[in-house]
Amino acid sequence: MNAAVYARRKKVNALMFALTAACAAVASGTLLAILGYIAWKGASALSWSFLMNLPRPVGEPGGGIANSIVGSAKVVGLAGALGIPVGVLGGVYLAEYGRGRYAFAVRYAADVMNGVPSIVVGLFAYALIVHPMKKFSALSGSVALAFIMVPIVLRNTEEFLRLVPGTIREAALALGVPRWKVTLLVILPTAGRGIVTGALLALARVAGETAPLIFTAFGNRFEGSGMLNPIATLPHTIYTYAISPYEDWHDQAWAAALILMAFVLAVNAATRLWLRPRST
Amino acid sequence: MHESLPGAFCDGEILLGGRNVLELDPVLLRREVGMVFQRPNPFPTMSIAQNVAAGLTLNGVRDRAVVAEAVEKSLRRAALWDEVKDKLAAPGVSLSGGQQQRLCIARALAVQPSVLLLDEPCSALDPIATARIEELLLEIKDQLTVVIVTHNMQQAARVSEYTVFMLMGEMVEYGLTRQMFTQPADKRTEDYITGRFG
Repeated sequence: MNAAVYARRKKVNALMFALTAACAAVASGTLLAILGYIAWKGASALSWSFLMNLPRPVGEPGGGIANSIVGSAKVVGLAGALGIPVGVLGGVYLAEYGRGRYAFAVRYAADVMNGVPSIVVGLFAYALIVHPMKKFSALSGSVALAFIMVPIVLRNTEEFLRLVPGTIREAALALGVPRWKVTLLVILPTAGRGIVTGALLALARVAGETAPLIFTAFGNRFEGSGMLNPIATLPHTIYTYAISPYEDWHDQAWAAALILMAFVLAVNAATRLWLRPRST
Repeated sequence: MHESLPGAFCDGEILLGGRNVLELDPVLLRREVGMVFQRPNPFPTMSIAQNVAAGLTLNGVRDRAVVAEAVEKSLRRAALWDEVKDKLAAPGVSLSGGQQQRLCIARALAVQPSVLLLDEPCSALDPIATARIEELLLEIKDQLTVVIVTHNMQQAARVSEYTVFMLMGEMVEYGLTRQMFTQPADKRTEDYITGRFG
């Protein structure tokens, strides 16, 4: 190989390396830019009373988003209570028992579900609950979010269960432990951390969903009354405030976005810490 | 156990106390016949004591005194007690490979099987750990039937009283270990133990 070819290859290598580094910087820089911008815009409107008070009527300054925070907690909490058990148990089925055509269909359906636009899921919840009950409700919002969570939790649970070595399964079976006990008392705890992490990440993911809530939870300027009535949620409030014509609502939308981002980030960071391999 | 492996099959029959094992309930059979695998496989979420007790606690034994006694007795029989008695709450996976394998033997012994199967229990271990396991097998062989699979002929000669030579799934020869290694009846056995193939 002559020197000229070698020099050219080195140059191409350097160029490609720079290109990959630049793309990595764009990818992580975007996150930092969004975070920074939201923090900068949102911090000015953020205050204790903003967190603790209900919205004021249009035109009156001040007011807060307490109802949205509580509403989000309720809607997302119920969504988790509905979606996580279904996802985890379905994942157990796929990983431990799922073979053949049915399992393939379930897996495929979950993957397709994962890609369905969230507003379509919202429409489905509308047709399923809002329309028959003739009423927007927190419950319908929760159901919509639960539908989004199920495939995420299901596939995640399956993946983590598959990571449990087959030898562990054999060891427990060899002790004369029935299959269901092996799954419940040995395999699930071994994969436990990963499964919990996946469930939390799914919660964080749906906590930020707006589209499925527009015509289900609907939003509410007041404290919601029960799960069968319309309720305010953070992403929906951000959406409403951001497209409103009022300057102070814009500021409040930024502050609400900051809170939502902080929640999602906190969950992500917490799961990272939790999943980090511990030295034993 | 072979039924959980796709593509595995068997024929012939294995009698345990006069009963064909293929007709027994697998869960009950596995309580009667303990098994130790090629690689140590302690339960990663459990402590040393919990690992040994797993066969009891997972099957519903609640009495702590009974469990604690079984743990100590099994660990003693597996020649591991002196090394771990001060750290029973440490994770099972924190032990060395040889210790983990003895932990697995203790775990299998804790359910008091009448037969102990060992599938190449020393293939992932160093010679010193291997020697400890062999010693322990010689100690427990008075109390229960030990069936050990090995590719190591010296090991077979060292630890066994009877030897079965299997080739490609076929039982070629069965007899007293001493006899098989000195005067094999089958040509293939002779070829194998003299190192002509294998």
